[in-house]
Amino acid sequence: MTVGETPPTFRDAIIRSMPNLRAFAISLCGNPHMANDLVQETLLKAWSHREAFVPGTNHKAWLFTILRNTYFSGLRKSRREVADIDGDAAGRLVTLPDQISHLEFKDFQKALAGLSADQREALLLVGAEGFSYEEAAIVAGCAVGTVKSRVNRARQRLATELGLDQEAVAGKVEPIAAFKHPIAASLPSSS
Amino acid sequence: MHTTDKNDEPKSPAQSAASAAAAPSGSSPGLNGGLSGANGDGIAEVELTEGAQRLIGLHLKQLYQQIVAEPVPDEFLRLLDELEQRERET
Repeated sequence: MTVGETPPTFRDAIIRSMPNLRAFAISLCGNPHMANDLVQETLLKAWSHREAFVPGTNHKAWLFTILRNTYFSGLRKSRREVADIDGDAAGRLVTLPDQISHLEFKDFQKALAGLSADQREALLLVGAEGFSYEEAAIVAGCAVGTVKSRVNRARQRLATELGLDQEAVAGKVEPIAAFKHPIAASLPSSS
Repeated sequence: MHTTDKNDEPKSPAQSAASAAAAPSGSSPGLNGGLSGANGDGIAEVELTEGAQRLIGLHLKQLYQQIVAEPVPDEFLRLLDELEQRERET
């Protein structure tokens, strides 16, 4: 093969997406060492299958798809769903904006790692990486509605884990709480 | 405003459709199991407050962007160089 020159744009596109690809890998599997392997494997696969990339489509999404497929096929093999929580990962963040400093960041990472892999993936693709629901659905290989549902449940689960949902719960509980009102409580129960 | 507990909380059709799609009959239990999963238990459908959503979003982006901002490890760039090199040699 003498004409095997890779167009510079392919390599450039990989390099451009690398920081995000790496962030996705680390956040998805929760373990920087495992994430490194994942990124490496992704790069090898992307390189050897580069003619499978359709020009004009989203190159970053293509790389993300390879990475998540690699991760999930590994998961299926190991039957391990909860991400490893690595101390290094938890300790990597030092400064936080004031608005969120009242929440322990470590707690957030732990809660994120405690999500099902499906939910964590959806939340990362949409909420962190900023893919549209449609793009995320293509990456994850599922329906758009499935992505939405996973993102919603991931948020709810995180909120519960972090004690952020009290307001929402209080709002919901109000009608039931009315029964505990002194006047209601003083009424003779009919049954 | 106040819904009685007989009337299920209103769900948008889109939401119900999304929930239904989330639980295909043949989904692999290995990846989806372990969570409350099943719909209609009320708890899973509680709408989050805007504040809670915002906080979660902020945390998530903060965590992610911090990693994005880190320099790409040399090993990845080296790997790409090697791949390119190997190809030129063949």
